[in-house]
Parts: sequence; C-alpha cells; structure tokens
Amino acid sequence: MSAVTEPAPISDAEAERYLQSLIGPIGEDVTTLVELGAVRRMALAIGDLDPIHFDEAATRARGHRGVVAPWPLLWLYFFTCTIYEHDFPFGKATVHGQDEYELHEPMVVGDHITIRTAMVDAKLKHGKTGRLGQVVSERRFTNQRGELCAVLRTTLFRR
Amino acid sequence: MLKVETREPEERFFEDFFEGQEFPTVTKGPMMVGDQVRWAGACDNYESEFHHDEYVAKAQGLPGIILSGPLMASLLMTAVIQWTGRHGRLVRFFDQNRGSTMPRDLAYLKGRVKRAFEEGGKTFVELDCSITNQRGEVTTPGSALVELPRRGR
Repeated sequence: MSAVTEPAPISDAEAERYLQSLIGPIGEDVTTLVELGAVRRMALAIGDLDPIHFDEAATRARGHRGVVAPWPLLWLYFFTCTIYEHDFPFGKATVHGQDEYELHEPMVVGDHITIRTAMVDAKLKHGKTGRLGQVVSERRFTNQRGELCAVLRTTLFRR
Repeated sequence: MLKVETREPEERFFEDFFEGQEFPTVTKGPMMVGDQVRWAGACDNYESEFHHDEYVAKAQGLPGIILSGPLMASLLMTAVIQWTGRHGRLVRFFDQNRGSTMPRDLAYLKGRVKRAFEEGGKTFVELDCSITNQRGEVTTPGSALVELPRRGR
C-alpha cells in the first residue's frame, strides 16, 4: 500500500478534520463464499500443509465442520470485499504499519462470510520525520450462523 | 488436481510449554518474487505494482521490490500454529511491519514462550515471535495467544 503523489499542503487542523471524517462505517457489508480452491491456494502460498486445509476426512477427524481456511485467507476478503485505500489530502506515502487479529470460529469451505468494515481510530501525530497520520480500520468477519469468525484491525500510517 | 503432501502438526498440550521456552527457528527463503506473486494470487490482489515490478518500485523511490507485510506475517502466524501443535487454537495474533523483506532475503522465524497461564478454566500460552533477516534486522516483531488443552482432557 503506497502512493507517491503529494497533494497541495494543508494545515494540521484540516488534516485532523479529514482524519476524523474517516471514522465510521466504510462501504456496505459484503458476503462471500469460502471456496475450496481459495483455501488451497492460500495454504500453499504460506506453506501451511496441515491436512485440515486440504482433506475433508482429516478435518472431520479433528472435529471441524469442514475443510478449514487458514487464517491468512482473511486477506483475500480484505482485498476483494473491502475498501482499503484512502485519498489522503496530505503526505507522500501510505505505509501498512501493523495488524491485530482476534480469532474465533474457524471459517470452513462452504461458509458464507459477511465482512463489515469501519474506521475505528484516526489521529494526527508529529514524529521525528514530521507529520504522521495514523488510521485504524476494523473488519469483522461473521459466518452464516451469526458466529463471529475474526476481527482484523489494520493500522496505516500516512507520512 | 494433484494431491498435496500434507503434514499434520505435532500433538502438544499445555503442559509441554513453559516460560522462556524457545522454539526451533524456522528458516524461509531466500524469499523470491515468486513467493510474492503466489501470495498476490491467493489474495487476488495485484494492485500494488511495487510488490512485483522492480521498475515501478524504484520509480516510487523504493530500493526495489518489497514483499508484502501481510505475507511475512502470515508465514510467522503459520510458524506459531506449527510450534503450538494440532490442538492449539490461535486466539490472538499481532504483527508490525517494521522492516522490509526484499527478494533473496532470508527470513528467520523465531518464537519464545512469554507466559503459560490458566484463566477462566482455560489454559493459554502467550508467545513473542518475530522475523529476523540475514543482516540481523528484526523486520516483523509479533506476539500471539494460543489456547491449549491440558493433557488427558
């Protein structure tokens, strides 16, 4: 996540107002199907060779409802189902700073996952390198049974 | 589709962990552009050209292609899951993208038990984990909380 264009300079107060305007829901809820091929591709991409990501019998033997998605599959839904870029009116580049995952009910193949996105925190700081915008977005992933599967909080820095 | 040669994580229980315990370092790499491309495919996301095109990366002022932070974090998360075994339930994971991983870098995935404790009738292991490159720079510090059953329950 990065951008190199620098908009016309704005004041700290304007930058703070912009950041505050981001707080709240982002876009509509989106529902998507957990597909076997997607689970397999992600498991292979990260080298997670646990049979619960590939084999129905192995998953049942371990007490799961179906073939289990590795948690990094959240990133597929992050990129394809949610808005994750912002047109900051200040700074030169956006840096993906950190992620915090809360993990609950596993997502399994055939689940319908609904993703709700919101900006939960946005502030302006002044650091060694100058003005720094910090925004925290939260994505909540819930399955068709109403069970919360995961919460992913992503912090972006705008410099 | 060809059958994948799977590998079940080992069987481990709460009693197998103790404060200060260090896990065997997992070495990944040299990381290659192909690793990034495979990740982009798994995420169906090719928009950040600097992740796979050196020309674009340098034009944006970067030293070269930078591998995705969430990719590196996902490798670390997978190591945590392997270390804590098949009965572990990852409850929480945190990572920071503090340094860049570039093509041909090595990634040493490290983990250490910070705390093993019981709370509300459940047993947990808290870990510090990180990725260090071949220059000794910590690129991805992190932490994790894993719920584990006691042996025989």
